[in-house]
Amino acid sequence: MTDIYNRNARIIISTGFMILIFLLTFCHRSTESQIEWNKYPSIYPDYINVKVPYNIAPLNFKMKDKCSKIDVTLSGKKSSIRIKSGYKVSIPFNKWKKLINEQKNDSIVVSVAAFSDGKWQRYKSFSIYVSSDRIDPYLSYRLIEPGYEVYHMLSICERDLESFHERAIIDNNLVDGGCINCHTYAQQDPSRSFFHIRNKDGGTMIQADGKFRKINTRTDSTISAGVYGNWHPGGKYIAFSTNVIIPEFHSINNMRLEVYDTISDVVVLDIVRNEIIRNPILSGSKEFETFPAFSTDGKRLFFCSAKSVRMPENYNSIRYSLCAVDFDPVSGTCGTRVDTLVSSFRTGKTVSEPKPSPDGKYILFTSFSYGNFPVWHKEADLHLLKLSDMSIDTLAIVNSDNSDTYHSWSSDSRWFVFASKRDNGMYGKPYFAHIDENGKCSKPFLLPQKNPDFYDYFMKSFNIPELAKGPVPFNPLEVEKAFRSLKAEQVKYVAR
Amino acid sequence: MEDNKLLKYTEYLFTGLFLSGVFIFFAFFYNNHLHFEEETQLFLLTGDFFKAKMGLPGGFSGWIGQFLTQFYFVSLAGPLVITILLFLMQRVTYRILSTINDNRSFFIVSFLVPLNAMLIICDEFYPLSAVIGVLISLLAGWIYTTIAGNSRRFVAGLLLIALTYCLAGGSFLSLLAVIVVFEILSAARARKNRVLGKTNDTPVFRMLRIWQLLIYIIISAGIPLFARQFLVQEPIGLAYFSEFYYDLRIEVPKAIPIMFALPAILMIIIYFLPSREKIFKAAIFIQIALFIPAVIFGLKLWTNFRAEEIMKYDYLVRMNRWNEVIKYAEKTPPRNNLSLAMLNLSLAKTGTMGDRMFNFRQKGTGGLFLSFAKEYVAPMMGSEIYYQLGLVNASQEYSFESMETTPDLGKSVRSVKRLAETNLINGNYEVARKYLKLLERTVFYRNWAHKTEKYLYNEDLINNDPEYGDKRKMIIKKDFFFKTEIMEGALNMLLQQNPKNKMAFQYLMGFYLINKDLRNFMDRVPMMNDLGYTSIPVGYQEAIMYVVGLSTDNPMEGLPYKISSDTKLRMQAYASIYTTRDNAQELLSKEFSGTYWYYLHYCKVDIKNVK
Repeated sequence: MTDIYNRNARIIISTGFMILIFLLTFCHRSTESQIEWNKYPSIYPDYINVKVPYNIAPLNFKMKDKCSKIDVTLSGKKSSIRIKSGYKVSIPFNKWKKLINEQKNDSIVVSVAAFSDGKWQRYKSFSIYVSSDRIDPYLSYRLIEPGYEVYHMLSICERDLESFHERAIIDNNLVDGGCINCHTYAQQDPSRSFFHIRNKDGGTMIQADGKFRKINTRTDSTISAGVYGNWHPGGKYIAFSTNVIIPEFHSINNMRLEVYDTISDVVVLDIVRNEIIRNPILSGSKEFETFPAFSTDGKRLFFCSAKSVRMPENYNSIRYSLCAVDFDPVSGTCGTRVDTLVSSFRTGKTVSEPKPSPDGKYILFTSFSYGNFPVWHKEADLHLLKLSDMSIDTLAIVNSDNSDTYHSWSSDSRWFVFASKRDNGMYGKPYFAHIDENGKCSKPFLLPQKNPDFYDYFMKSFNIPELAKGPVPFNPLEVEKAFRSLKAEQVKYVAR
Repeated sequence: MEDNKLLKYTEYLFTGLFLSGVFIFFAFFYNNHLHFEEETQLFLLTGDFFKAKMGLPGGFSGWIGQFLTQFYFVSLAGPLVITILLFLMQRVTYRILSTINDNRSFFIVSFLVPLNAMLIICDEFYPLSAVIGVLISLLAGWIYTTIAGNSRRFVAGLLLIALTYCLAGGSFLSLLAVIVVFEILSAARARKNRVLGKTNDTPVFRMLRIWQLLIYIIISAGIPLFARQFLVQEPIGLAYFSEFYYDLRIEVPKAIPIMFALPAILMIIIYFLPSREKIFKAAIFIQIALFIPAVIFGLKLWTNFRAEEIMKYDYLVRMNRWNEVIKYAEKTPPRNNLSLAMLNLSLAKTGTMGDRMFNFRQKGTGGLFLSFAKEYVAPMMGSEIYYQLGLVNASQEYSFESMETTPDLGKSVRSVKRLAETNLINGNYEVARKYLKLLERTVFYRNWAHKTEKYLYNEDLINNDPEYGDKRKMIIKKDFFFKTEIMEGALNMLLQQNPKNKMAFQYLMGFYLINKDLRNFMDRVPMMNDLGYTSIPVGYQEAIMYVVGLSTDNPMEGLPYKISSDTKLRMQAYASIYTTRDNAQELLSKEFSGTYWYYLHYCKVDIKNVK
């Protein structure tokens, strides 16, 4: 009996040993049988050969192609990070910070091997170029469903670009469900900003060092309350467009929504005296004026202008030019001569959202076929006007087949952010692009998220992304308190 | 002993009857409400979805509520889920009430809590998470009442209040009420027992001190404020009541505080009922006698069978059960434009709109196309009409806007599915993929999403698909700004582009007939030749006969179209009454109310929205 037991035990042990050897061999062989591809891996977000600031959060990504395992190495001169995981790559925060700081003005080389169909496949390595130009570390944006007319939950959030921390700064649930929009910093300074709350008790909320004022910018002499606005660098004025905005819905498949103005002007608000200063040159009855933006030195006012036409009959033939007028920061009045910087007659395209760079060298604007609402125009692209020679760069490396618009500069003029619908044509996401001292842009990269699947299941668009040098000094409860406690200050319409 | 047995069987019987009643009610009389609830939520089986819910006060009950609501997709699963939850609720309520008065004769009182829960979920704005939330607080209350030691009970109370707030949100207030009432009543009972000299066989209950109860109250008042300040910044009302009890966040209906207070109120009531170990047969009968009218009154107050009818029309349309819609309409004619629009769509889908449209009372073009409204029902149903007509962008707009007006501010699985389809038809594959990815994370739409994913970028598959291919053939090629006021133009354009679009033809003819615009109607009669009609639909025959009758002395002769002898005979009969009798309308309404002639002569319609 004992022999039998011994024999059985031997059989079991030797069989187990053979299975173990087989498994080891099999595993060993599986890592050995590796296919080398001379192509980049298909990853999302696309961080292949992008340029990023050294203070950006880890660029987590995932494989777009099906795979069960990945083996990723991010290599620098001094250190490297190796990550073995499923289809997603989550880069350890501290290791990333160390690596990216070591690689300033250099590249991080990323090599990816993915396991699928029983084989490891190694892809061509790609680089992430690390710029020593620091990006303003905070980004605010409105989160909104890319709907038609109806909205329900709106929030303006602030994201720390150096980490994954995001917080709401304004929440429409706390202000009786009103539409909240156009959160705009004064020259990337978080201690001065404004936004609108559109409802019965709303108004334009102007914030300075966390203290709010509520202003009613509508007067009997202006078309509407202020809409698209821009701060004067001196901090005393805000230029606004006043518009009657009409949304319409297209019937054919590649178009969704058309938003147009039936009438519009630009006005200048003196926020110290609560006066809207009469500037006839910005409110001509024969023109539609909109999208005002002060020059960096505060001595000029840029805006978009088109000959007024009947709407909606001419909705697809109206084109806005980029214009400029002198501005006197003392009186708040404009000159009498309008210069056309980018003529729609010459380009055959319309201009929206001119944004001068903080160094005063460029104006970044959106160019598209017609109208003044580029979000739903697939062809909307960013263009860069060089003010020294008035040349226009069409930024081929930055733009996509879908709408690229709603841009904002970093305070050092080396980075800009914009909302792009390049991924699916519908949901806008914040992309960042670098611009070097010669005005050359790099391939943009998407705002990284902790979970690379985030964008798949997120059902909102990132609207009006704006960079800021720091966090805003308020939270939604403080906005609510100001909204409820402040009485709107009425502005006067005056001639100076 | 006999009484005990009788009581036990009565308990079983009553429980059985109550639960069967609940099941039958939701399965056979109110099932469409459950389908409606299911379609207006999007529950994702993902870690992120769970984490997002858990980040909110009451998020756990919200998550469980939505998890269970998804099973409403299966007609009998929903009633089963509700029945089980109400059973659990009753059992836990019974346990709590027993700690105050253990006389089992009053067991029926414990059914009032589940009855209340059952009634409130008859209103579609009260989600199932409300029931889950109350159940969690009841469980917490029960646990609390089982803890004997005062200091342990005090600490447990603090933890349970905080935990209930985290898991169930607003119902922590219900727990607070249960705790306070339990402390006061148990102490009072203990005093009473001492006076009666009954303390030998039961441990002496010592009530918590007043300051301890005050701490409970202060903590309960403070937790939502703390959460609001540091965790979830939301309106103050929501911070206390949370968003999982009532879908419309702007108000807290009275039913919610009543629901929260009910367990404590019942504890007070039962305290004053006799607690001797005697079984009161009469009490049982009295309770049953009171319970039945309470059920009837409650159902009258809370149910909305008009909404149930609309939801049934909507559900059948959503499932493409066109013939069943018509059958249902024969039994329960549409009472408003929503149901009527679904019926008309079903008639068009079965090709019988021309024959049968006026068999049902038409109320203007509002019963053909649903105008946009900033709520979620009309746009969702309107989306079905535009989708079937081939106005894919309009369908997409309505569907999207419906989702954005869903009362609980969440997403709707039905809308997401429709958006996946419209984007697929429009060739916006990446957007379609996004929606399909969401649906792949659901339990009941996963297979559909996987199957549909194969269509992405596969033009042949889409073009040859009976549904999507058809829509592509119908699709508008020339752009215009869509609004329901220009439907006549849109239908004409659909027909111009595709003269074989029978849906558009039926709707256009229906539009003219409803508007009594017989000139345009007659102009389009010849189009039937291209549409493969082998005979002229009855409603059209009636309209043609009427038009011919206006221009000739003998409308029976020389008709330009083939009119059936039956129609001719009916017209003769109709005309003889119409022209000779003073009370013609009354007489005609008996036999001819389903004819176009009757509609033309006697039905007043609102055509002010027509351009």
